Amino acid sequence: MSNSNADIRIEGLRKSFGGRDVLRDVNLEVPAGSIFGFLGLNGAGKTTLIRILLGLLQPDAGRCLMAGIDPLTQPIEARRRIGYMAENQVMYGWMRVNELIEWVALFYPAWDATLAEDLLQRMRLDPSQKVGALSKGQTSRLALLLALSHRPKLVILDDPTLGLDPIARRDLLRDMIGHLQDQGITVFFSSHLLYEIEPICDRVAILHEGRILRCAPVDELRENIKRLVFQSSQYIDTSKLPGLLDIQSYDGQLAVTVEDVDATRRALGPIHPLREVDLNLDEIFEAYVTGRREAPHAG
Amino acid sequence: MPANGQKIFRALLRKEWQEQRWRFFLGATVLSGLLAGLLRAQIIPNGEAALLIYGPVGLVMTIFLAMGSVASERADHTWEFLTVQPVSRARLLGTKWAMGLALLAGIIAIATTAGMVAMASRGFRRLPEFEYEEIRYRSNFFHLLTGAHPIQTIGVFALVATISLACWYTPLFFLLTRAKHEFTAALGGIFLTIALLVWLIQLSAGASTDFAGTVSFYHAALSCSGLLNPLSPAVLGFSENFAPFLPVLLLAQVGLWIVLPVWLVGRNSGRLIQKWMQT
Repeated sequence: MSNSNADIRIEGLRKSFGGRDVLRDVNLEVPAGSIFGFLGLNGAGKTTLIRILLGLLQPDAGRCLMAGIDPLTQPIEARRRIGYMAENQVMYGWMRVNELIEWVALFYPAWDATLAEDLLQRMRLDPSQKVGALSKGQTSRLALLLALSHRPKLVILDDPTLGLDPIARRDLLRDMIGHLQDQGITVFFSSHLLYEIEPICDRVAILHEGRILRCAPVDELRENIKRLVFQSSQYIDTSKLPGLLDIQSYDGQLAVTVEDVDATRRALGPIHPLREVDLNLDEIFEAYVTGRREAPHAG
Repeated sequence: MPANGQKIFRALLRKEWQEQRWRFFLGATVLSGLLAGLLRAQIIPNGEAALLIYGPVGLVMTIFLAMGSVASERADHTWEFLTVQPVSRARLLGTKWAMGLALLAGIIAIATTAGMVAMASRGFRRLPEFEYEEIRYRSNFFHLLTGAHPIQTIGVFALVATISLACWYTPLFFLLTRAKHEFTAALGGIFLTIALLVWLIQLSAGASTDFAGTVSFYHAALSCSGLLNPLSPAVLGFSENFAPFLPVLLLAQVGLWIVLPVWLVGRNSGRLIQKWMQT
């Protein structure tokens, strides 16, 4: 584990359920103060990894540290220091908003009632309303309030905008970013909606079938991963392209997506593509997860 | 328990009461109504009436209380929210277990009080005891009660019932924490209780002999194993051999079925429970 300034460190984590490997030798470091996007399709193992980080599941092998605490041996201390918001978080519908806040506050020695009150007003929540009567967007904002009011050093958000309409999603992200900016809080943001992660994340990791396929700063990904478009008549030996992620053939053109554009240029030598296309995070993710590595057959 | 720990325990208990109180009111109404009705009608002796109500109806109440707490939270998906709070799984389960146990004892206490009031409303008439009553109760624990005041009779039956049902409630509660839905939990509770009763029946007359009337090792072992059955005091109270040891048996059952499971859960709040619950 190299980076001493990491808020999350994961080393050799493995977990299987009923003989099916859900996490396979996962290694990850999340630098302190960063907003870290954790990407993966549904069923990739994101929630399992998060449950291990929270000390709710025991891994089969490996270790992790959360803000300096091992959640496997000190799960309660780890959860006290972490703010956590789950996907589609369901809370006690029979409680009123203020009752739920007061109830959750008892579990956290560092609970800041003033901050909770401030967030309650900023998130436009009625304290006397029953939790069960809140809209999905309001429920998400309340869950965010509960995750932030004990001033955690590290916040884990597990697909927090899942199931929200675009307006509610925008409101939640605005409230979240509004609070997290300049606070120095480390955010571990798991999502499969990449367009919402892209503008706010410093780094991302792509998890697929229990393995980390790539972990890098977003800018580095955008800079290095390109789609190169060639005429089909140009002879390209795709088996010799380094870091090939995807090959597509259409309209007499061949588009290859590569992990390291500089290395690919060197490998191609005198052959020049028609154009180089910049990719957004969505397209990069798709290339890693569903990319075709073999050249399409003619006809 | 530190001051903050007490606050957390009280907060969890308050939530449990809010969520479980309907079970308490329903259970208390059903058990009280049946017991008071039967005792006031006096169509069977007090002891028989108490056994009939505390036994089958009490077991249904026990399943009802043991199955509900965790399974309903899992079905409502609030279980995920509860378990991510910085509270140990042992404390969460311990609070739910304690609340269910308190409700069970409370239901029996209220039903017993209602039964006593019902008997009082008839002026504590000496029951028209059946002839065989004298013979059956001649040399067992409960025969001490045949000449006793009806209040004493019902009180002792209620005490034995509370301890025995609590002894079954505790392992049943921890076994059913794995159920992901109340319906599954109810089915599990019913099957486990039937298995318990089948086992208990081996303690009844004739269990230690086979059909030819000879004692076999198998039958003797099966019969003796019945001592471990949490409901065995209800049967052994009527046995000449075991009746004198009933108070000792009750204490042993409390140790085996309440203290030991709670101690085990409290000791190992991490791996054992999480492995069992796999959440």
